[in-house]
Amino acid sequence: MRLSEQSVQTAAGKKLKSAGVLLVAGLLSVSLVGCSKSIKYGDAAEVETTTTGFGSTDLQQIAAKMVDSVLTFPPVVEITAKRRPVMFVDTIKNKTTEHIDTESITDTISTKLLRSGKFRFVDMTKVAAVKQQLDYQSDSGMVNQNAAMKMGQQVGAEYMLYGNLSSIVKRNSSRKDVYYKFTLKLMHLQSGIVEWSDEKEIRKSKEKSTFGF
Amino acid sequence: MNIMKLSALFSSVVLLAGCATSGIEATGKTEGDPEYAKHLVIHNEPLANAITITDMKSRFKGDLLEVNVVLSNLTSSDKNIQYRFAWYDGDDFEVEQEGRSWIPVVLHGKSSTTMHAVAPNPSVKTYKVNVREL
Repeated sequence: MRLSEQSVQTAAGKKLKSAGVLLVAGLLSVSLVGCSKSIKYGDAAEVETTTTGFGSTDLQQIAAKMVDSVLTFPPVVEITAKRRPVMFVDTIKNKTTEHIDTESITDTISTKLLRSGKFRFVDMTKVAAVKQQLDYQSDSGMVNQNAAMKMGQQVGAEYMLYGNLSSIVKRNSSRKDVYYKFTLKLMHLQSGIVEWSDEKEIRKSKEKSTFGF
Repeated sequence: MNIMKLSALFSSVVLLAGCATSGIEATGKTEGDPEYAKHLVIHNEPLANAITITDMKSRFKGDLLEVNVVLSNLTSSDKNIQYRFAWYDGDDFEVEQEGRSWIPVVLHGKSSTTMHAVAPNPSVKTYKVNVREL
């Protein structure tokens, strides 16, 4: 009788012990999870290496190189010395296998060029909205015609900015290599001459670690 | 004992990670003596012993400041570094503060690389380059 009581007691003790261990493990995991869920602001200028896919650092590097190059190219320096030529940005063709917002790249480039004080831009994405507003000003009868903006007075773009983004991706069992090439060109619209062109190459690689993590 | 060793290892890793944010800082002026060493600020002594700025040149292309800074690796191992330029106008106010991002470069052993940049607009008169190790 006593023996069986003892065995029941030890079994209960073991159960308590294992429950204690479980509780500690649970608390530890909860505290760890708590640590991993912190939200903070980061530096937008920081180098980002989360994946080999096209990222913010690639965009920033491409824009910086292109703007530096066009602003210091001797014929362009000559053109922009006394006046600020008007440009328009055509789309950048995305020839990579990734989904990349190429308009974001051209937005950054055109913003930097505009802020350098060397070029001016016409925005072809807003033509319909401008037309609608000018129609309203001239035809609706609501706007004082002395203060209305007149039709047919816009300045035509002299240069067009256009380009390509292509990539070569290679991989084997342990390594992935991505090569991006961004080409940008500046064409004089009347003569069709390409006044300037430059490329930016980027190589990114990812190696699988020995332990397979 | 093992736990002690592990914690020592972790704290050293944390310390090393802390070092990654600081680096070398050099200021260049467009006028006067190009003695860039005078404007060199070292925040990270081990990095400064491994990497050095060997040349700083600037010129005006049109009215925009163009800068060339040569960085040399004194060690025989490859270094993953990042650099960033900052631009200041004639009154020492920073220009286009958010316009420049860190640029990663692999500096091979016993070799040098040129960091090239152009000022964002004609008001820039002084520049600063920051170099740090990743």
